[in-house]
Order: sequence, then structure tokens, then C-alpha cells
Amino acid sequence: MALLDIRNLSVRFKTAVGTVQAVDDLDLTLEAGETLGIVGESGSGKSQLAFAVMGLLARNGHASGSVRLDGQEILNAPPKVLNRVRAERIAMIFQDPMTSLNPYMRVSRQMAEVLVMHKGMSWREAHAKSLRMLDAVQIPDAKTRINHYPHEFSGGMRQRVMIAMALLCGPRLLIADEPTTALDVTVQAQILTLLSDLQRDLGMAMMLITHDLGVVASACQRVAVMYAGRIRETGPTAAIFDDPAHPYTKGLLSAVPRIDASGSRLVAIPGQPPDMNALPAGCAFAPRCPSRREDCESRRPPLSAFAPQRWRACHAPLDEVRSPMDCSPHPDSARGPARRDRPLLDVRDLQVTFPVRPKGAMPWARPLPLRALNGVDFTLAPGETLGVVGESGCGKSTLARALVGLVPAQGAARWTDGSDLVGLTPRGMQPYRREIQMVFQDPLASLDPRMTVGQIIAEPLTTHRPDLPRSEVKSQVKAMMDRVGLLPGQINRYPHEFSGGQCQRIGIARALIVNPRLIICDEPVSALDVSIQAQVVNLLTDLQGALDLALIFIAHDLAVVRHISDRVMVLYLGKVMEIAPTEDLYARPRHPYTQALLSAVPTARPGADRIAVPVGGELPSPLHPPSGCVFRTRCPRAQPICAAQAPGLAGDAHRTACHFPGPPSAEETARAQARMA
Amino acid sequence: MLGYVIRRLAIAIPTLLLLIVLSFVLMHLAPGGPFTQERALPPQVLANLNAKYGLDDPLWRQIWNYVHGVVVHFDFGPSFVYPDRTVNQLIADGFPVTLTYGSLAFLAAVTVGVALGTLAAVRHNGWLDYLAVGVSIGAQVLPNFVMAPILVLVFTLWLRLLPGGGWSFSDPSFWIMPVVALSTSYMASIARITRSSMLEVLGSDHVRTARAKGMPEHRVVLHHALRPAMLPVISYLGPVFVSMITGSVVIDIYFSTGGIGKAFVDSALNRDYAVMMGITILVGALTILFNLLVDILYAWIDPKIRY
Amino acid sequence: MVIDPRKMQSLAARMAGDEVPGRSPWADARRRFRRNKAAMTGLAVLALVALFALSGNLFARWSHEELDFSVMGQVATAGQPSLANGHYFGTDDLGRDLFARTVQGTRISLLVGIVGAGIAVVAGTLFGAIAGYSGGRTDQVMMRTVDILMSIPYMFVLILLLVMFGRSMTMLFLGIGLISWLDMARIVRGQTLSLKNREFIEAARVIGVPAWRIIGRHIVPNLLGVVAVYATLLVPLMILTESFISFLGLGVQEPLTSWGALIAEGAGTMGYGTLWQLAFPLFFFVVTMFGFFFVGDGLRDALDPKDR
Repeated sequence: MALLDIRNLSVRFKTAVGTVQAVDDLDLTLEAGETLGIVGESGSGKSQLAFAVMGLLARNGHASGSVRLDGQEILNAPPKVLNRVRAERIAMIFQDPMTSLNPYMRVSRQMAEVLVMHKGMSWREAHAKSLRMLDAVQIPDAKTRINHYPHEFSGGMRQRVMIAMALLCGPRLLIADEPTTALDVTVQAQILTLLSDLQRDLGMAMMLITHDLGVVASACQRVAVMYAGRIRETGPTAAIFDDPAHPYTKGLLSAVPRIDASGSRLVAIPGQPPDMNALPAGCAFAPRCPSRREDCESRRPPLSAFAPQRWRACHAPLDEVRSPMDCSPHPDSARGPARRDRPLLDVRDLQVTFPVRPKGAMPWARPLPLRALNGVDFTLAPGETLGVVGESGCGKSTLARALVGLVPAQGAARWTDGSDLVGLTPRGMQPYRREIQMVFQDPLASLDPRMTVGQIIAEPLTTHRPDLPRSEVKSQVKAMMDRVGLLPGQINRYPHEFSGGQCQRIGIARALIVNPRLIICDEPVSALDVSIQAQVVNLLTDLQGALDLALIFIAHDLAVVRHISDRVMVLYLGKVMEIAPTEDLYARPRHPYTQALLSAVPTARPGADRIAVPVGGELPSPLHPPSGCVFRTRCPRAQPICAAQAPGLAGDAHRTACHFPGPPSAEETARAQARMA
Repeated sequence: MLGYVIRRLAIAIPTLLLLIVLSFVLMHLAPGGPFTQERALPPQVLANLNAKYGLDDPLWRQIWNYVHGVVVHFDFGPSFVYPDRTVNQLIADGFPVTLTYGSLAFLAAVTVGVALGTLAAVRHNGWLDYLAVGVSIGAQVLPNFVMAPILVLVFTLWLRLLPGGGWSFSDPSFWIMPVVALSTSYMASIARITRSSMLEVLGSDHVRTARAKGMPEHRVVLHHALRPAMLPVISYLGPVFVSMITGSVVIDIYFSTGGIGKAFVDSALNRDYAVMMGITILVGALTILFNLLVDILYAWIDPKIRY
Repeated sequence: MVIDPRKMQSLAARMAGDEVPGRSPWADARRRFRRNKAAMTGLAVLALVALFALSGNLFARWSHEELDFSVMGQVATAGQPSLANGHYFGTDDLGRDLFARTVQGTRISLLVGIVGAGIAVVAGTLFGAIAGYSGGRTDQVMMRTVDILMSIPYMFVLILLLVMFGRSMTMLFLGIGLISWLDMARIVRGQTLSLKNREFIEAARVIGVPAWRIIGRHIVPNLLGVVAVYATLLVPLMILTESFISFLGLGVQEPLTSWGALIAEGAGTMGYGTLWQLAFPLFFFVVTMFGFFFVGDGLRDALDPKDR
């Protein structure tokens, strides 16, 4: 008998605008000890599936169908029954470890109460057991830390606390809902390793819910792919990734940029996810499906087995889905390396410092300087794309904001005409604002909600060329909307009437309308789903090729950066660690941090062997950066000299700031692998 | 925590001094005030004032004398109307009464309001919720000066259950109507605030975690949700305190309870500025002290503010 | 790049295509507000009260100052509400027509409410927006000032001022308006601060939109919603404050009157069986309060829906 047996599960939410069908007649089983990955984009219903199993739906939600745990029906069970299932037999961890832990309670109490309520332990016993559990999830100095409040832990540590708390009663199943989405890649790698270690040691099953195909590939035995509230395909991980049998799975896999291969054009899934208020009568994926046929419009395909261990829900014949996709390279994206004599932008020793008053300081205490950027050098050629990567807090967004004058900076940033952009007055900066535009992270938040799309896109034009007649502005706006793939007829609509991907197109149109020479993209696709992300990335590369634009592309996703960039710069605590041509950097990283970063990224290829050099620890506080080399506290190669002296950027095309640059030694790899195993 | 308290004090103390100085300057500026000689004050009063502040001294000297008296000796000086009484005596007569029904009303508003709001939120969209919302909306438009006559009409004139006015420390039946009249509208507001913040907290991530841990509902509400749900209520306590002190003026007038509100209105009608000033400063000081306590309470509940 | 004639044609077609009208956030809010029954009822009630205040005198047979000597001394019997002698709402204790006095009191109370709220909105919005947008030290000093002013027992100070500088309508308006802008300033400042850090404001700065245009085109329109909501909620608070002062006999002066003064008079005489003297002013007061609270709540739900 399966550990968890879900039959005909439906979840509906009553909202002001109608009933939302979050999960639609879903079947799923999970065996004891198994790791099942559930993959889907936002709105696919994957989290609501987990909440329904746990009985944690919001008040306006209702679940129907059947969920059996070891044969016992638990769906809509009375609170008494559910409270014995929760924590004791099924435990759950959540996406955001900051808000998911009770910020008003000490960790010790939050953990101990689980044991007191479920196992009838005394508070003292419960405290001791909690302490052992914190040790088990490798929280350093657990004896002191257990008495802290959640906000005193870093993100990764909080998620460890969350895991420890979930496992206190030894559950048979752990549901992890996007457990690493809020974390940086190096920390994500640590948490994923921890989870699989604990799972093996405790012999429990795990349901890992994520949007990240890479996470699934590296951590799960079996995968279920969800779209619009239903499972579209399920099977062993390797089989799904090597031989996707559903057009959606196949589209998803080809839309993800690969970190382990240089980029051909991404194959985006056209269109938008369906409106969950009004699901079509037939297959919900049909409007975006290349193998669509008449049946699909009228009849929902059932989930049926087509091979041992494999199920899919699709009317199209298997051979048609399996046939290779037509991914002809786009003519525009084939560009030569952009090298010209005079750089477009030459940045020297750029520094940004924020005065910060530490919490709890006396009123007379002086604010401390927080060095968000601490001496950044790089050049950018016309038409070139420079990728900027690093974990949160590395200063990559500050770099973008300093270059466009949103935050005051020191140092120099020479534009191609020889003038220094740093320290310009607003008036002096004005002519350069036409040349440098920016695309923001949050597509909706970067558009004024009370202006029409036409007004938004026209704003740079009316600011910089006030002489332009209205009709001319309007026709230019419409032409630009067409160019970025928006319907010009929608010029009078408001941002909230568009989806995230479309909003980002509006943002791009606004940036392009004054024909700039440089666009700074600050995490332009990180808020978007994989299939939409591919559309936007393709749009950016096409436009760049056609318009001879230079791009500074900032992202935390190393695969996207590899896909789009000519050169890549790696930042850590406000300093450049390494900067090199893309292929060179990804194939032969010389800085230990770059190596760690690259090896921490899970690839969407199960069983891919990578150089595993995970780094331990977490980012030090930028208020008190380490002396010498800022990375030395986490570096496997750290020597006394690293503490004494900060290494400069050395090298010609491939520049590295390290006292001991080079590929990882055999010894390092062995040590790292031993730690992984 | 210590740094936090010091920071709060650094604001509170100058505020209080400013209030005292401003009050005294205002008294000087007032047309028909004691210092302008437009109004014939009883000679005894003038003598008292002169002895106290030195009316011939420069203004800053007089201010210094006043501030010094208030801060060091808690002495508000002589009355402008009654030659043989000091402001302190006038205040001391009424203060215990105001304090008694005021603190009872405050406690009633907070406990009943929080309980009602919490129940309504836990039974969201149930009949109890609708009842609580209905009651609190109704009570919101019944400020003390509306509640007071209605209560007297019902309980004194119609039902003849409670005395329509007066005060006795020994007989709590005199306390009931002042307390109810003073607390009703604030109880309603507190219930509304509690309900909406409780609803928000009950939908938050960490409450979901508590449920996922299999905590029984009463533990979820009392141990996990109540504390954060109290934060907006606590920030509302300062304004409630001020409004209640203000409202006590109506209570004192309408129910003839004889609290400091009565002294205030009497002195307002008599133009006894010294008493008005004294009461204003006293109320200001209490307000500042209370806000300090509220801030500390807030920091105690929310550990993110504390250290 | 080769130009594809087919592509060009379809481009021309797309450009000439119909422009779809958009749904502005204001239109959305209007629709949400119209669907809110309580708010619409509140609005209707307020309209009726306003109508009563404006045109009530057309129907009054007595002025608010006249004494009706025929009812004097026997108010409890002859002064009852009656259509026959033109005292629709009865008379007050002195034999003055309560209908005319209620119309008069409604005018004063509404006027105080709207003017007081108006002063508070203008002063508070300006102060808050300036503090929020300039930030840094200016903001610190300005908000510290608000903090300090907030801990002053304003009602006592207001009464003090009324007593010291004489009671007049101007003083009442100013006093009530000037003590209530503090909350407004705080709210607007908080909203401005959060708007200032929103990405669309940064986008405007990157584009090079000058500061005054950012305030005019981006910040103010996005502040309006919040200001409108709190302005609606401020009006009843102003009315409440004025009524409070008038109830104590320190507000408007005879022969003018207001709801608070009328309620005080009615409450003082209800022992003599002249309940209508309390009931009519109280009814208008309570109904108006309800109206404003419902409209305010409705506006808040319409303009700032949390569960979207």
C-alpha cells in the first residue's frame, strides 16, 4: 500500500471575482521512503495540493476527493485527527523561513512545544531533544542559538531551524514547499544536501515542491509535472528529463537556459498560463501546445500509463511529442564578439557607501559605513553584454543604481565621450539619461499603476524631446509596442491588466523608446516563470542584436547569465572576484568563489557529474567585512596572507582577484566530495 | 532594551519641558490674563503670584520659577480665583475620582474589546462575528456625551436602577454609568482593531506553521496569534488614554462625579488660568508617561524592536 | 535586414487596429464602491442630511432665534412636535423652534467638519509629503515635531485657547483643523516614503523626469486614494470634536447652535419629559456619523483592496 494515496483531489477557492480551481481532479501516490518532486510554474496549484493534504487551506478554500495516509482518510478530517497527523506523521516546511517561524517566540519554545503537545514530554526533556535536533541540522553553537529569536538567524539557518522543528516527531513524510527558493545558490546547495542526508538517515518520504527543474533533477527519484491544477506527466526523474512525453514538459525543459552548455536560442512556450477562474473544457495546455488537435479543445486527457512507471495526460501521439523540436537558430542572435577600440563605459574603483545606524545603538552613536560597493573596475564595449552575478548582498543591484545615479557613488565611470558620470549634478546627468536606460526586477511595481501603457512608454520621449508633436509620440509608442510583442491597440490599458511577462515587455519598451546605447537590466527575469522568462530573454537578445545595444545584465541565476552574456563579472561583498569572457569563466573558473558558485547550481540534468566544491558558511555582514580578501572566511584555499592583504584583479582578458587562482586541485575536489557523500 | 528606553526618554523629557514653558508663555500672552493687569484680580491673589513668580522680574525669570516649581516640587502655584487655594489642592480633590472610574473604564475597554475582537476573528463570518461587528459599529457612533444621556434616560429615568449622578467611593453603583459611558466607544474601536489584526495574523505564515505542527486551535490563537495581533491595539492605547482623559470632562460634568474634569471646566468658565494650566500639564505628563509605557510594552512584545 | 512586405502589411494593419479602452484603477475603485451596499447607503444618507441642511429653512415656519411665546412655560405639552403650529420637531426649553435650530445646528456641524477636515488635509498632506519626499534630516526634524505635538493633550489646549482668546467660529475652525493634521501628516509621510522607494518612481528618476514632475505625475496621484479615505474619516472626527466642545458649553455661542449644543440641551431637559429635544439632534448626529464611517470604510475597501 502506498504511503500517501491522493484520488480525485480538487481544491476550489471562492473569491470576489469567482471560483478559482487551484487543483483539478488530481491523482497521485507516494511510496514510503520515496522522494517525489512536484514541478510547476506559479499558479499551477502545486502548493495548494500540499496545503490540502495537510488541511491548511485558507478559509475560502475547499478540498474534495480523497487523501489516504497509510489507508486512513485524512482529507477534511476533524481537527483532532488532523492534529495527530500533522508533525507526527506528515511534517511540512515552507518557502520563506523568516515569516514561517514565529517571530515573537524563542526558537527553543517553538520547537519544544511540538514535543510537549505531541509526545507529552516535559518542557525540560523537550528542550534537550530540540537541542539535539538543532545539532543534527548542523547549527553551530546550538546551545546558545536555541534561545534566540528567529530574526537573529540568517536565512539559511532559519530554514535549518524549520527543518529541525519539522523532524522532531520523526514524521514518515516531509512536504517541502519551495524550501530553497528564498535562499542563495550556495546556501540552497547546503540545504538540499542536508535534506537528502536527513531523509536517508531517517528513512522518511519527501514531497519536494519547486519551480526549479534543477532542484528536482538533483534531489528527486520521481517527478510529477503540474500545469493548471493537474498532473500532466509523472515518472522516474531520469526518464522525464531524457525523454519528456508531454508537450508541456518538453517545452519547459527547452525553455530553461542550461548552465552546462552555451546558449543556442531558448525555445519559449508561447502564450500565457490559463485563467484559473475559467478553465477551458478541454486540455488547459491546448492553447499553448504545438501538438494540439481537435480532441484537446473538447476533452480533458486522462492521466494514463504508457510505459512501466510512466504516466502522461495528453491526446497527442507519443511519437509526435517525442520528435525533436524545431529550434532553428535565430538570424539576429548570431553576432560576432563586440570588440571596439573605445569602450562605451569605463568604470574605475567605483564605491558606494551607506551610513547605517546599527539597531539598538545609543542615540549618540555614530552611524557605521556599509560598503555596498568597494572598488569595482570594469569596461564595457559598445554592443557588448556584461553579465553580473553574485549572491544577495554582493552589491550587484547597487552597481546598477550607482551607474544610473540613483545612489551617490565615488570613483569614476567614464562614458565614451570622456565625461565622468559619477558626481554629475542632476542637470549634468540629463543628456546621459537618454543613453542609459534601466529595466527593473519587479515588472508590475516598476510601472506607475495610474498611468496608461501609452503614457508610461511615452514618458522618456516627452521628457527628453518635449518638442515632439503628440501624434508622432503616439505612433512611435505604438511602433515600439509592436516591436516588443505587445498589441499596439492596447495603448490605453493600465499595467494591472497585463501579466508579469507583458509588464516586463512594457518596461523594455519604455527603456528602448529613446534609442539608448546601454540598458542596465536588474534581475529582469527573476520574477517570471520559466516559460515566460524564456520569452523575455529571447526578446532582449533579439533587440540587442538589431539595435546594437550594450547590456549590463544583473542576475542571480548563473544559467541565464551564461546564456545571454559575452562577458561575466562575479561580485562578492561589493568586490569583483573574477571577470572573464563567458565561455572561459564557465569552463575554467579560476576563483574559488566562482567555482563554488558554479558547482552549487543544480543542473536540469539528473546525475550530471560536476566539480563539487560547495562552500560552507554564509555571507559575512557587510558592516564588518573580513580583512584582506573578503572571501577568505569561506574559502577552502585561505592562507595567512589572505587575511593580511586584499588581492588585486590580475590577468588580461580573464581577470581574477585571488592570491591562489586556478582550477580546484584534486585534493579539494576529493575533500568536497567526501563532504557531500 | 536599555538603549531603546533611553531613546524614548530623550524625546519624552524635552517634550514635557516644552509643554510647561509653552503653557506659561501662553498664559502671559492671553488677553485678560493675570499678567496684563486688564483684569482686577483680588489683591490676595496678586500677592500670591508676586511671591511665587516675581511679577516684576523679566519673563525668563518667571518661566524659570514656574518650571522649577512644577518640576522640582510638583507645585503648580496659586489659583487665580480663590485666594486661599492652590492649584495642587484643587487637582488633589478631583484626581482620585477620575483615576478610579478612568482606570476601570480603560481596563473594561481593553479587556472586553480584545476579547470581543478575538472571538469575532476566530469565528470569522459566524453569527458571533456579525454580532460583534454590528455592536462595534453601533457603539462607534455613540461617544461619551451621547452615551451618558442615553444611559441616564434608560437606567435612571425609566428603570430606576442606578443613581443618575454623584459619586461615592464606597458604593460601586455610582461607578457603573461613568465607566460604561466613558468606555463604550473605545471598546468598540479596540474590538474592531483586534478583529482585523487578528484576522490578518491568523492568515499569516507563522500561524500556518503552528497549524502544520499540529497545535490545537486554542494554542494557535492564544500562544501564536494573540501576541502579534495585539501590536496594533497597543499602538492605539496611547490615543485611547488621551481621549479618555478628555472624555472624563464630560463624565464629570454630566454625572457630577467631581473629578478633575469639573475643576477644568469650572476654571475655564472662571478664567482661572493657573488651574487650567496645571491640569493641562498634568494630563500632558501622564500622556507622555503612558506613551513611554506603551512603547516599552510594544518592544517587550516584538523582539525585533527590542535590542 | 530584408524587409518582408507581408510583415509590413500586417504591421500596418496592427497599427491601425482599434484601440482597446483600459480600465483605470479609479474606474475599478468606482465600481467596487458602487457594489458596496453599506457605503452607497451611507452616501445617500449623507446626501439627504446635506439637503436638509441646505434647504431645510425653506420649510421652516420659524427662525432659529424666535421665541414662540404661545408655548413658553408649557413646553412639555404645547411644545411637542406638531405639524399644526409649525414646530415639526417641537420647541426647545425656551420655546424656540427645534426644526429651525436643528437645520442651523446641522449647518454648523457639517461646516466645522468639512472645514476642519479641509484644513487638516491640506496642512497634513503638505507637511507629510514634504517630510517624506525630502527624507534625511529634514524628515527627522519634521516628524519629531509631530511626535512632540502628538503628546500634547490637544482638547485641553484647545479649550484653553478658546477661553483665553475668546470664543469665535474662526478660532473653532482653526483650532479643530490645526490639531487634527498630525495624523494626516504621519499617514501621508509614510505613504510618500513607501512610494518614493517603489520601482516606478526610480524608473522615472532614471528616465530623467524632473523632481517636480515626479511629485506631480507620480506621487500625488498615488497619494490621492489614501488622502481621500482619511479625509472622509476625518470629517466625523471633526464633528465629534466640535460637538464635544459645544456639549461642554465652550463651543459655538447662542443664538448659533450645533449638534453638540443641541444634544447637551436635550440631555439636560429630558427629565421633564421633553424627549424630542434630545431625540431629533441625536438622530441627525448618529445618522451622519454612520454615513461618514460607512462611506470611509467603503472608500478604503474600494481604493486599497488588500485581497486582490
